[in-house]
Amino acid sequence: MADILNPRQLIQLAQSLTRFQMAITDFEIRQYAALNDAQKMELEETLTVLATAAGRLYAYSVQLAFEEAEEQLLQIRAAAEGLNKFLKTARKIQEVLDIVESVASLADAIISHDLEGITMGIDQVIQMVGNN
Amino acid sequence: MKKLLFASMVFLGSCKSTDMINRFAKSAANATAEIGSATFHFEDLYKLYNPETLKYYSSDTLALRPSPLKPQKDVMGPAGPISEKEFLLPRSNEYKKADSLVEIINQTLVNYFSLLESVSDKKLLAYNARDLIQALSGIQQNEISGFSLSEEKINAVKGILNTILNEPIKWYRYKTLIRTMQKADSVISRIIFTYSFILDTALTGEIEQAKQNYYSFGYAPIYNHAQNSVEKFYVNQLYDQVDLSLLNEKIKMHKSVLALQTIRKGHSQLAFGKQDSDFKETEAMIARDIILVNGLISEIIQLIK
Repeated sequence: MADILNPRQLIQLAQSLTRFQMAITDFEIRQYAALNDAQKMELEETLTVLATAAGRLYAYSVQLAFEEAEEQLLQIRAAAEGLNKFLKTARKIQEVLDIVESVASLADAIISHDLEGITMGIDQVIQMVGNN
Repeated sequence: MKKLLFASMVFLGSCKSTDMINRFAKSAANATAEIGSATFHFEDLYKLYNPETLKYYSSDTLALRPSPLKPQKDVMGPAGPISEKEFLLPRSNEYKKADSLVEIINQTLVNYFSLLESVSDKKLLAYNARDLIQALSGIQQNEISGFSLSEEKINAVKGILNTILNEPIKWYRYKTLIRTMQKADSVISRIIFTYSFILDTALTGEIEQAKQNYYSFGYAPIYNHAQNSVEKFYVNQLYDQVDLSLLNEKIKMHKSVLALQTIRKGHSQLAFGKQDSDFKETEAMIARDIILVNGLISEIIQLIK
C-alpha cells in the first residue's frame, strides 16, 4: 500500500464516511423515540465529526489532484507565454505591413498631385514609424 | 517554375487556414470561462451546508421546542468570545484553498485558449494591396503613357500581391500554431483530466456531502420533532426542494465535464490534423453543452425566486 493516499483513494474514503453518516442518520430517525438525550447528543457529535471529516477530505483531494498536475500547469503556462510572444511579433509584422500600405497610399497621392493626401500620408507614416 | 511556386503557395495558404483554430479556441475559451463562473464552489457549499450552520437554522426552526443541541449565540473561544459569524463558519480554509486551486486550473485553460484565439485571428496579420494598386494605376494614368493595364489586369495584380504577401505569413502562423498545439496537446489533456476529476468527483462528492449534511442536521432534527403528518409532509417537501436543487448542481457539473472532454477532443483533432467534419461535430457539441449549462442556471435562478 502506498504511503500517501492519492486523490481517488481520498475520495473513496470520504464517500465511505458520507455513507456511514447516512446510515447513522437513518438509524437516528428510526430509533428517535427510543433514544435518551445523552445518546442523541452522542449521535449528533458522531455525525458532526463524520460530516466535517468527509467535507474536508473532498476539499483536500483537490490539493492532491492539483499537486499531480502542477508540472503540466507550468508547461501550459510556458506554451501560453510562447503564444503571447508570437502575438507580439505578429503585431509588429502587422505594423510593418501597415507602413507599406501607407507608403503606397502616399505614393498614390504624390502621383495624383493631391496635396491634402500627401500631408495626410506623411503624417500617417510618421505616426506609424514613431509607434515602432 | 514561377507559376508552380505561386500555385503551391496559394494551395498551401488555402489549405492551412487558421479559421477553424480560431473558432475552436473562441468556443473553448468561452466554455471554460462559463464553467468557472457557473459551477458551485467548495466554499459556497460549505457556507450553506456545514453542520454548524444547519444545526443553527434547524434549532431556530424548533425555537418553540427548545433543543439541547441549540448553539449559544455568545460562544467563548480560547482567545475570548467568538462572534456568531465565526461560530457558524469554523475553519473554512481548506475550502478556500480548494477553490483557489480550481481557479488557477480554470484560468490557465482560459488564458491558453484566449491566446490561441488571438493568434489565430485572421485580422491579426493581413496585407491589403489596394493602396499599392491604386498608386500603380495612378502611375499608369499620369506619368507613363506606355504603361497600360486593363481593369482586369489591375485586379489580377492586386490578387497576386495579396496572396504573395499574405500566404507565407498565414503559412508561418499556421505552422507556429500547430506546433504549439501539438506540443501542448498531452499537457492540455492531463489538465482537463484533473479539472474533470475535481468537478465530477471532488465537487460532486462535496455536493453529495452537502445533501447528506442537510439530511442529518437540517431534515432529521425537524422531522424527529414533527408532531403530525402535516408537519412531516412539510418537512419532506422542503427536503425534496433541497435535493432537487443539489441534483441540478450535480447535473451541471457533469455537463461541464462533458464540455471539457469535447474541448480536449477538439484540441487533439486540430493539433494532429483530423478531418473538418470531426471538428464541426466538436464545435456543435460545445455549443450544445453551453446552452445546457445556461439552461440549468436559469432553472436554478427560477427555483431560488
